[in-house]
Amino acid sequence: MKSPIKLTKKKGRLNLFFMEMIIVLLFFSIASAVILCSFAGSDKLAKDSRLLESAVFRAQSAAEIYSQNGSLSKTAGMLFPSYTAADGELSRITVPVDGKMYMIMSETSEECGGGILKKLSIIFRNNDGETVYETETGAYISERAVTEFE
Amino acid sequence: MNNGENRRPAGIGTGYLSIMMIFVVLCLTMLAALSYSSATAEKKYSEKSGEYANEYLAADISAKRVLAEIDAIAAEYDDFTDFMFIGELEEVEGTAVRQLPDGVEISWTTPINDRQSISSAVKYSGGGYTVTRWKTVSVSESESKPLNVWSGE
Repeated sequence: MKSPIKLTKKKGRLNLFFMEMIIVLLFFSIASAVILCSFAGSDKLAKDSRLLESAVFRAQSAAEIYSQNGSLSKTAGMLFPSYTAADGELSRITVPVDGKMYMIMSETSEECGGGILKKLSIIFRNNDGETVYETETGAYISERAVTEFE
Repeated sequence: MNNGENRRPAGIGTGYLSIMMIFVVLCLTMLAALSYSSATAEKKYSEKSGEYANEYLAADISAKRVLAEIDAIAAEYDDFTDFMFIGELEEVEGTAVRQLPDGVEISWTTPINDRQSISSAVKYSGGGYTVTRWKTVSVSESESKPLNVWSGE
């Protein structure tokens, strides 16, 4: 038969172990919750920056194309090969981009004596309707014969 | 004599769990901090890139507006060597006019930000104009001053 003193000592050690385990689990769960929040925040930031980068890249491409041809439907057609231009010139076009956001392009014109100064406003909105990026570009269409870079 | 009763009990002792937990939490915290700082840096870079694109496009529109102003003056003339035409061009703010045997060259600079600007030039001759320069230059950079590189001599 084992001594009752030794049994009490073993039981006490086990209790201490379980107490430590409970404290560790409690602390670990709190720490993991904070760390998981931080990971989720990083993920959201990374997604936002990817969306912004894509919007900036597309806006720059649109600006390059538009400054050459000064036509909204041609710009949309070259940017999005699947886009089918409607009859005639439109002043506003909305195109979905990768299912994550919408590209809204609207055009205004200004008579300048020797030609027309056209402006294209480009706005990217995400699916929640928040503006991701917006910019404006322009094209000058002269009535004269123009040669670009000799 | 060792009869086995004095040996330490098998299994995890008190304190091991705490040490392991501290190690795991430290590792996770470090990873979380690294991923957050990397994501923040990426976001800042994208925002700067977007801001620069905005600044450039705004300067580009301003430069095109100057071109439109010049072209509106040119629309009233057929002869681009006419001194009246040159006189009117010199009144356009920020432009430099250079007379050529067959026409005139107008150049102007539009600031993008405090470091860069768009340098533009158009040449009016014959029945129309030619864009001879439309490029981004550094403000400190002198276009006439060559880079100080070894010429091979």
